[in-house]
Amino acid sequence: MALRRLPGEAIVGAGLAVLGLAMLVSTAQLEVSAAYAKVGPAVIPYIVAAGLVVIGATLAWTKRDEIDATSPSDFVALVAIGAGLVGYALILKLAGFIVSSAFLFFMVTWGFGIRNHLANAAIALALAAVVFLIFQYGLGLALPRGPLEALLP
Amino acid sequence: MNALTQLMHGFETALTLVNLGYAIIGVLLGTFVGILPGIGPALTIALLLPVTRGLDPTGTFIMFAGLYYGAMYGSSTTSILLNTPGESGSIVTAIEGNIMAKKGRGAAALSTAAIGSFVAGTIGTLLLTFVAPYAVKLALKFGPAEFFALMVLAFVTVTSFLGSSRSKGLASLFLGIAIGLIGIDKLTGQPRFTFGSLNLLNGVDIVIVAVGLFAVGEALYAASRPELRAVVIEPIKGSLWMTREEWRRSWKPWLRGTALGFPFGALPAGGTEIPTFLSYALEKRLSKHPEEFGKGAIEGVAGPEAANNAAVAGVLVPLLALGLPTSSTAAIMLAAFQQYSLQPGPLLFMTNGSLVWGLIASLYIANVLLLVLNLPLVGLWVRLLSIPQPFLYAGILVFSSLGVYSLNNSTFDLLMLFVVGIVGYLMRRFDFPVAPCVIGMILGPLAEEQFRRALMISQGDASVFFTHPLSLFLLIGAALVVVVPVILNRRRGPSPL
Repeated sequence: MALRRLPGEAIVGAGLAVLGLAMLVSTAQLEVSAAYAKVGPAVIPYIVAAGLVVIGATLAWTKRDEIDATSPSDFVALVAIGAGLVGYALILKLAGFIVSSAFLFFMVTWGFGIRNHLANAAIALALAAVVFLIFQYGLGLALPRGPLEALLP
Repeated sequence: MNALTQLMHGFETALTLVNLGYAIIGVLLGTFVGILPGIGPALTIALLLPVTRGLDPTGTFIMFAGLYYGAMYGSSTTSILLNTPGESGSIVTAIEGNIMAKKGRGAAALSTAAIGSFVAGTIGTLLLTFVAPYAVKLALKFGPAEFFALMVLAFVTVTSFLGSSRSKGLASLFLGIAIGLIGIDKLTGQPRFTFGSLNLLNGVDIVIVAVGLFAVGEALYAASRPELRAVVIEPIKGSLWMTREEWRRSWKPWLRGTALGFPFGALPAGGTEIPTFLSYALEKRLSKHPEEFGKGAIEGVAGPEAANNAAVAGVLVPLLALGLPTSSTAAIMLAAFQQYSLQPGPLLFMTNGSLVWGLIASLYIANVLLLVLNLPLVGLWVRLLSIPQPFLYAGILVFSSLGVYSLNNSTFDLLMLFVVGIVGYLMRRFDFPVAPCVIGMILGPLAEEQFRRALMISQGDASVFFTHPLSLFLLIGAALVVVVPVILNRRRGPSPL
């Protein structure tokens, strides 16, 4: 848990400044025709990018010594929910809506500290199936179908 | 009495069976999401955008406005019984309201909140009815330079009045504008910040940003803070009929709260939160029993609850008359207008009069419906609070992902949702306000368009912004918002930040 000892706000500020720099570089590569030179598509991006660099750098500089005093974050919870979301995105088209949604639901409840895995998985599957039926047949929304959905009419 | 005849026509629209149905769905959904912590009106309207694409715009906006009002009513219940504000506009309500509930006066707190919301909502809607036409007349004098100056003023006030520090508000705003810039430039057709990705050519959808920042960010944050998980629901105790004494102590705070809330909502000054804080401070100062504050003073519930509902009515004035959103929910509603290719502003009042006035009329109806929903039926709604938090957030994320996927049936969108969610988590974790980001994303591209149009008309001469009197006036206002607090701080001595 070394991470919470770092000045988190300073890191976020530095991240914003880097984002601003990337935008400056990207904007510089825009080809602006002479007709638009003064009011072209690059003017506002330059201002916004410069703004991000300045604000980010200011935050990074002023908060550099501030050690995070809040209680430690539960990283297991963050990873569980993050994995749920990314997993959902990656398996949705293959596994179908029910399995993917049940997976996401399960990972979120797991992240929130529920350890009754069997009951949890059952609730997740039942809920996902109900949502699928409502959206598919009630609202006529075509949700991705996988092996499980193939069993349904 | 032009506004009055228009309003009567509005009631003809609002009272059709279909539109009444939309209003009922709106207030039910609004109360529902207002009561549930972790899900608010901005997120809900964003998730409804794809669903409503094919529906009638009038009905859709009647539903959205009812939802916005309803969320303000519902969130007070959560504040009072759970000590967790359902929405940011109800933070102050939790202070006195929860203490009242602990002392067995929860029913009285719920009553003064609901009746105060009704009084403020109705007066606020009346003010909206009569102020909006004037705002439209003002808007007719606006050219691109004036619109740009107005948006600058809105940016400045939104970043100054929300959140803990100005630099964090600015960071949030600029991040939002940067996201808004992604995609093909409307005027020249050049792609900007797409980094070669075809998925980014059409820009980032507001639904992804709103859902990522609000739903995913909030879920990640709540999960990462185990100490926030323990919640106690207070049972409703006492009679919902307020005593004579409670009425006597409530009615003035209702009116004062309304007087504070409406202008704060209507001016580009950052939505519903600030007037509730001001109302609380004002009631504490004016009270004959200041010692009761902090121990369950009914004025501390009555004033702020009136203020946040009046502010919602106020927010609709610049949104409808100028196309200027001053809260995240209003920003999403502006996106809804864009979805129907409608441009809020004077033109909307002329070409879509029945939509605008039907919407305004429906707000009177929504207020009556909400009073019934939230007073006699409050016992039913309270059961929602017993949904365990893990299942609540898991459900929210399942519906959110479904909503984002249904936009374009795209895996890329879902991965982007995850990235925006991490940003939303970091913003909560390090206390950056989220609203400036959402407003910046919606308003940024519009501000750029006005900026470039103004400069094209003046053939590149940047002095247009200072030679037009209205534009100059607005820019001076924006400068004052920045400079005055700095000077005040200097006088008070070195600021702690």
